[in-house]
Amino acid sequence: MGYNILIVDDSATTRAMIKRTIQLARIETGKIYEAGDGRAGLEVLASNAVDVVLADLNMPEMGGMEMTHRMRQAEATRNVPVVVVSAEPNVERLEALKRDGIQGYVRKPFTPEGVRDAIAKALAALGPGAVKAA
Amino acid sequence: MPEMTTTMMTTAAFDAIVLESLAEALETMAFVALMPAAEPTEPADGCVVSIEFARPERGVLELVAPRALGTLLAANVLGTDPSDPEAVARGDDALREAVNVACGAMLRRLKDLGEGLSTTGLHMGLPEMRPLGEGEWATVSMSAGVAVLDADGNVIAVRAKGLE
Repeated sequence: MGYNILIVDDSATTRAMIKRTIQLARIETGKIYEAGDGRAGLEVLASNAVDVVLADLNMPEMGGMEMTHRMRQAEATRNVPVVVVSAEPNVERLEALKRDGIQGYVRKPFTPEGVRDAIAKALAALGPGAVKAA
Repeated sequence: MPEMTTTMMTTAAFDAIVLESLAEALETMAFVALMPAAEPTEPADGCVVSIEFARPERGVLELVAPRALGTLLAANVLGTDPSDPEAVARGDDALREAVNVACGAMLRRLKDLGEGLSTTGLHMGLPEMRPLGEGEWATVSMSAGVAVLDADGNVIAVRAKGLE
């Protein structure tokens, strides 16, 4: 049984790109959910079991950091890993976000390897065997 | 047009960073390469995609492109053909995301060069899109700091400029 992944990004193109990368990256996935902003992401999380979240930072309505803060306040999502996928140019800010509850980040434009490695790292914290050997 | 460079960087160097950033975004996202345009012909069904930023002085990155380029980007991302209705439907989104990514890459390059960026002063807005106005191409393509390029057969123009 694979891991359920939630992709939160206001760009449908980027969501498709990440989804395609995941499907090509030998990551054992179950369901892949999509949401267009943090608020929609929280709604997905409220009604579905999700193992890892990939989230943009800069989105209308609710950005990735506010969504992560709210996830950390809820019992059901407190420990769900969040990987930021963002065009954010400031690496110091991204590093600082790790102290605020994100497990890693991938900067746009990303390579398939970058996304795969970040997901693998986040899933590794959940337990062995999340990623098949390449 | 307000000058967007600082005392540490020439206008040419700044313009080169804008080009490199857009090229990185298009190539990495969608395998679309940039070349100098043979003829600066006005793009059919053109649009202006822009994103405001602060570093901390305010500026805007603008891309003028045919909407067909967005369809091409989306098709390449999806691994399909530009005639695929899904690629057509996502074309505008793909253009906005390309400008968003290019802006982030541009600010990152400027920061790496020490161009006055700080953690607190750095900000990116959300990309916006509008149709290219009548006669606007002639004005934009001849403006200082504008590069007219060919993106896999699509004539585009790009610039970053300061805001008052």
